[in-house]
Amino acid sequence: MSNNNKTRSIEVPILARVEGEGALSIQIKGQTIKSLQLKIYEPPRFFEKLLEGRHYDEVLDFVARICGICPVAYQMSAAQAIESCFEVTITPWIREMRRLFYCGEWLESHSLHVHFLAAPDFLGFNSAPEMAKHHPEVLRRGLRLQALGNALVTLLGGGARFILWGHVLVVSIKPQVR
Amino acid sequence: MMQKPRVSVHKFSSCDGCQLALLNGGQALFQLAELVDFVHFAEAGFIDPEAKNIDIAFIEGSVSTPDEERRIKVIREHARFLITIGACATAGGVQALRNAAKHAEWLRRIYPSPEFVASLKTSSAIANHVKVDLEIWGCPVNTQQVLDAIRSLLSGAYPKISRDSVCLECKRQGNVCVVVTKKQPCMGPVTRTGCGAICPSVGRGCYACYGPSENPNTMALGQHFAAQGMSTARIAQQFLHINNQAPIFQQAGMAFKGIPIVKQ
Repeated sequence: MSNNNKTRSIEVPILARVEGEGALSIQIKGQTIKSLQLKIYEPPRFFEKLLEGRHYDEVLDFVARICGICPVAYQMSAAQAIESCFEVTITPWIREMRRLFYCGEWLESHSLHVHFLAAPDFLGFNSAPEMAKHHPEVLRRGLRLQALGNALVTLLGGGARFILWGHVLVVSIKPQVR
Repeated sequence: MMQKPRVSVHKFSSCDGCQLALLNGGQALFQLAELVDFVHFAEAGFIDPEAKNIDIAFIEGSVSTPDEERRIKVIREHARFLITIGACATAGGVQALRNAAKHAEWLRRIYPSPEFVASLKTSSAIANHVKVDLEIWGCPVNTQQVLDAIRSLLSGAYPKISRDSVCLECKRQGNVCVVVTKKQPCMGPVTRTGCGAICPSVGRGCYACYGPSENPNTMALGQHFAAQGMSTARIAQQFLHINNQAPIFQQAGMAFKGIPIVKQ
């Protein structure tokens, strides 16, 4: 093959359909990747420092804002950290409810990822709305799963993505069915 | 056939949560994709960050890097109507708490090689850099508010966004007041509605994630918290929270802190 030693580069300044910001740069010589750089240029937001000096019962409201796609993950980690500071043991009921809360986020976030972000790549479309014209049922399934996850997060989170039953140590409040 | 309105959605310093308000719109998002042309919306798969002739540009996130300072000017130049979505774009976001801190030290303490991290000393609202045509507050914004705004603009009307306080929403819902009955430091009296008063509805005080309401009496509320035994330091933190750079919250926070901090 004549192209064997030809050097090519692939530059992707903005990665599409990913959660957050990233860029990709690849240098290829012949059939070999010479360099591959993934750049995450998400700006720093300093949560590590801005949490210092805050009351523990504010922490869950702050950490939810680290990521709007997976706030429950940050809230659960912070809740466990704070509980271990106070040497608090949670009841099995709370643990189960938290797991369900977390599962709600997984369902919502993963169904978004699979159907809206990743599937267009596998089926050869640029975006989910474009894919919807040819595979409406795939997207509808995604929407149903996403809605189910959202309903669980809403039920257990008290109405919205960023709220977890009020304060960390008062987690025995029963979620309200609305 | 008339050309569809061209819409772009741009991410600045943020958590992605407000874009998710659109991505979580379900069927409404697909209906919207029929009515408009998404020109740039990276998370949904449309890439053209500096596209020209944009009818509506949505901005999520604050300006906190040198490149963001440049980028917002380019977007403004090509957009007819620019809407900020969320606390970061509208008031600088929670990350604006750095504005009153030692930025260089924070960078050094968190990152082993701060020279590789592009970050400005301040995180600021989009309106500090370019003209903003409409602000949609909330952390995160409510999907319905964003869709309503697009619908209004497509019909040639200026979107109506309520600036009532959360208290009014509590009254509409028949909630028992958590300030009166539980002595909670609820920020509802000075916070705009739009969330549906979700926190007081589950018995906890509002923490002002929708920003200031119309004509809020922040000092009176803070003094009420003080009369109930809250320290001035904690009262200051109530205001210096998610919307810490909203001017009226910042003034109240500084007043209760007792330390005037001026930073360019």
